[in-house]
Amino acid sequence: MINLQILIWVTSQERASHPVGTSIRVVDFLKNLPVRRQTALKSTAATLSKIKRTLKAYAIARPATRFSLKVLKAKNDKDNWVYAPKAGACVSDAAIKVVGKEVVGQCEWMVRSPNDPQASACSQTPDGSLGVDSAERSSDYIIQALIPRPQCGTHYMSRRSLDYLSDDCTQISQSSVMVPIISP
Amino acid sequence: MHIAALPPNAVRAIGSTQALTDAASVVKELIDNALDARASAIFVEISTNTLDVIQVKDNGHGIGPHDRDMVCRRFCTSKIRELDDLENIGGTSLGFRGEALASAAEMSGSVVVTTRVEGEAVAVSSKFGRQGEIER
Repeated sequence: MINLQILIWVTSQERASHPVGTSIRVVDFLKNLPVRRQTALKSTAATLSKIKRTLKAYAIARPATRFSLKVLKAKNDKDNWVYAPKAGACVSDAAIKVVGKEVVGQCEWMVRSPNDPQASACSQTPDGSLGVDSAERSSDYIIQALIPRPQCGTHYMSRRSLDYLSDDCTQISQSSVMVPIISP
Repeated sequence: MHIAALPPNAVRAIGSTQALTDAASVVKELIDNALDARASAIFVEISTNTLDVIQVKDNGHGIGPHDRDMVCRRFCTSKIRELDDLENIGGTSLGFRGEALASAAEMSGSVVVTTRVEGEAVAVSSKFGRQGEIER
C-alpha cells in the first residue's frame, strides 16, 4: 500500500478588499480526477438542484440566517435561490419560502422532548425560537417538527413538499415526500 | 480556539475516508464552516458547469492571522483539540474532522481563501495548491 502524503502549501498571499468574514473559492474542482470530472459535467443540472435543496434545508434549520445561491453567467436565473429573512424570522417563515404558504397553513408544530413525551403545541416567539416552557428547556434535546394536521387534504402535499426535523439548528433529515398516516 | 493538528488517536478515530464526491458536497462543507463561524449571511456562487468556480462567502468571524496557513491542512481544525472534546461538541460545531478544505485543495486546481477578522484594516487572500513547494 502506498501512503502518499500531499503537502498543501500557501502559494501566494496578498491584500484584498472584503468585509469581515471569509470567502472560500474552489477553482477547477476535479481538475486532476478526469473520469470523475467527465461524470460531473454530465450531471450539472442534477448537481445544481441538489445544491438548491441543500440550501433550502439549511434555511429551515437556521431560519434567521440569510442564504443565497447564484449561478454565475447563467442564461436565466431559474437555478438561483434567495432566502432573505427579516430580523427575528422563525422556522415557519423559512418553511413558507421553501414549501409555500398553503402547505404551511395545513401544518402545525409538534414539540417533543425526553421530559415531555406527549406532543405539545407551541407558538412562535419573536426571536425565532418556539415557545417552550422551562421544563422542556432543561432536556438534553428538543425535537420540533412541522407536521400536517390530520384533517388536511392530501392534495396539499405534493412531491415538492420536504420534510425536515430541526435538531439544535442542524439539518439532520430530509425526505422528498411527506407521508404521514392520515386517518380519514 | 486556534487551528492545531489533532493527536493521532483522534485522527484514527474520526478520520473519514469519504472524500468530497461532487460540487454539492463541497458546498455543504463550506456552509458548515460558515455556520460554525457564526455567519448570519451566506452567499453561494457556482459556475454553470459546477466545477470551474465554487465559492461560498460569509459574514462570520473570519480566519485569524495565526491560522491562515493551516486552513487547508489535513487533520488540522479549530473545532476540537482532542478526541474527548467530541463529547461536548454537540450543538456547538458542525465541523470537526479537519478534512473538508484539505480534500477540496487536493481535488481542485486551487483554493483561494479571502478573509478578514474584526479589527483588521484590509482582508488577506491566500491561494492554496496541491504542490509540495511554495511558488514565488
